Amino acid sequence: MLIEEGRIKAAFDSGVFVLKLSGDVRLTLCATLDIQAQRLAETPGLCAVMIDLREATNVDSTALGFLAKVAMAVKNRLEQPPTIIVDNPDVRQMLDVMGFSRFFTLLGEPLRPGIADSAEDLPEVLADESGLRDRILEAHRILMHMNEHNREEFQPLVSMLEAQDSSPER
Amino acid sequence: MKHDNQRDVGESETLQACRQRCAWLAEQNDALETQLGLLRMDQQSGGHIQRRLLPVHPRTLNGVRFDYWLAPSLYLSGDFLGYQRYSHRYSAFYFADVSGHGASSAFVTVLLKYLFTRWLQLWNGEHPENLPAEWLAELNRELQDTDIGKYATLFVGVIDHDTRTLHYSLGAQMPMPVLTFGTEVERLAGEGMPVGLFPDTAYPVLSRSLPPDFMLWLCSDGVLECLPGDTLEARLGELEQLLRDSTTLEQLRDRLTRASPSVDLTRVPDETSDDRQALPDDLTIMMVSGFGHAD
Repeated sequence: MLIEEGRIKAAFDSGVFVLKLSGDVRLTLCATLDIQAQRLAETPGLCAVMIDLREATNVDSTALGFLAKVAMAVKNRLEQPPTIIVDNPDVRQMLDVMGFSRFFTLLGEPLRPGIADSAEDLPEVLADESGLRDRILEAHRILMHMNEHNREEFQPLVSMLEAQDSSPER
Repeated sequence: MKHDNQRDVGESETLQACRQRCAWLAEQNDALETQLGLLRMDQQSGGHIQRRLLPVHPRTLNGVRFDYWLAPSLYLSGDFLGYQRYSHRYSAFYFADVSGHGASSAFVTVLLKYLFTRWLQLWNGEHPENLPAEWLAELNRELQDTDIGKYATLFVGVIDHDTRTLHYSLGAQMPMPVLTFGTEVERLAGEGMPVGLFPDTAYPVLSRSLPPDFMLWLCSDGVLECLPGDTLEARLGELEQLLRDSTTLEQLRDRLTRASPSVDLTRVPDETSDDRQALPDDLTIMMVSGFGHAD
């Protein structure tokens, strides 16, 4: 269940790729991360990768999995391991438990201030066809639960349409 | 007059378009309802299979009792567990939380069960202390090789009933397993990498002697969403407090229900029900206790 939509922003500047996650990052956004991991590894001129988690209140397991994929994808291409900037103690503890310090440099703040601020919103990538279907179905489930209410709500409109329908042509 | 006629024609065309749209929507709605029904049945039958793959509970093996409570977030769960007797001296168990939830994670739990059973059959009964760590390393390779983007946090234990020792290893288990005995509450020591996330990972070889009246509690991280507290550490403290006061799974479940600020656990049916109140995440609690239970 989605509780609060998280956001992902990305920027690429002078060989530094910045990925910024904010809010409660959960499964729905994983397609963005996945494509990002693949694209990232293939970016020409890539020198460094920085992931900014300072505005993230929660990073779910799937998102963490994709961050790990990023680390693996760029592992032999960069001189330095990718950096994660994290100041939320809960998120930090999660990263520690997951052993991220082996593949990332974990920092409380960026070495070059301001670099993470240039990040722009990524266009949202739809999860995939089945993901989209799930969302439509979910919307329908909610609609179906509201069926009785819906009928009442739209009854005046329906009545009006029906009345117009049966009224003689002028 | 001519002008009015034109307006009438225009209105009638709009009305016609509206009616067509309504009919189309009604049709789509019917089709989606049918599809939804099919998908739900599909998920439910998947859920039945997954529950059949879980061990009978409660179950007593060599005087040690295993029990659990598993509540999937929807129909299928990414949480899974198992326990098995190897001989009169050893029994083995595992507790896993596969990343994500739902069908994709549930597929991985089937793989876990298969590999657990197979590796226990292949074990020659020597060096029980190495078994959990070797399993995790092997499983890490399996998941890396399949390249499905799934990984798991996992706890594996082997109980030596003769020496009353727990040999264990773990991969990023959160919250940590908690051992309670008398009034003592102890987080089991050790840390390991998640399983299937990074290549070439080694796992810790750990042991803990088990007191005569011990209870070992394993919770999936879904429990954290049911506990009050602003920080992770506060919620873990809350959990330990609840565990200190509980001697049965039912007690813990009741206390968790009362403590839970946001999730109504009384409305969460257990694994025998098909009707689901969606939880934010799968929630599973396993309890291992001994010694001296009758088999």
